[in-house]
Amino acid sequence: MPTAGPDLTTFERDVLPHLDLMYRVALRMTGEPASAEDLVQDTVLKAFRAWDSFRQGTNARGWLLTILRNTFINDYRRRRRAPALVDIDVAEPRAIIHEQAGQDPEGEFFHALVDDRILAAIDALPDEFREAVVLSDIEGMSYAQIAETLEVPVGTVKSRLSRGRRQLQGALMDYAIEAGIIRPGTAS
Amino acid sequence: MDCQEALELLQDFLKEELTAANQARVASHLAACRHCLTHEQFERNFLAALERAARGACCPDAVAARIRQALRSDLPG
Repeated sequence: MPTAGPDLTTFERDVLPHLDLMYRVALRMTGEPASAEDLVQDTVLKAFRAWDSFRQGTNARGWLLTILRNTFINDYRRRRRAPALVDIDVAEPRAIIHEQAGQDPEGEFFHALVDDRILAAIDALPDEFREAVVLSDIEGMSYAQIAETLEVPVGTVKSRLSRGRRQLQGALMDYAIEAGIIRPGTAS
Repeated sequence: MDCQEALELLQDFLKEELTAANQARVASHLAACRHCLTHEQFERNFLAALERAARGACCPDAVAARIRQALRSDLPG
């Protein structure tokens, strides 16, 4: 018999389909599976307790990701395994990174990189860049959805994405050169 | 549209976040400009690699089961 309190059936129907998404985002935020699992569970329980405040018919995905993100910041950020890169100056024109690709200006080498290497590079981004890149480029959310989730203006989302991608490209290109996958260009 | 404007709009173009008119303007510039098309392919390959690397992970069944269990013990009464 239903009693007072959140409706478990409705909650599970609307929330559990987003578990994979929450887990992927949590994995990139925490940097390792055990913390990601705990973060997802904490997020779901918080969401359940707050379910009455969720407006039915609105975007559950964004609402859940906002809870996940706040939980990460409050309870998990200190424990993060991967050390974040310092925010290097990424003001140089995109063309410089691009031309360093040398023999591979179309970036085919990205496909030669193993997934673990790419994930490690994502995990090493500063939090603010990482979350924007994960929501946009891995989960395919729109700028407007990301802005709502991160509670920042769309312009901030764009700027974080642009800088995050640039840092990531730089890190992956450095690795590809080091590993002999590409040779740097002669352009200067 | 010149190359500078096309490259400035490229990220938003790839995410289909431009107005329909600007999407079309960038597309027609790319169709006519090998230099910018190379940049576009570079960015596309980059984004495809990110998606490929991270998109496969799923929440393990055991975790989903644990969460369902936790929800039930969280119910009042």
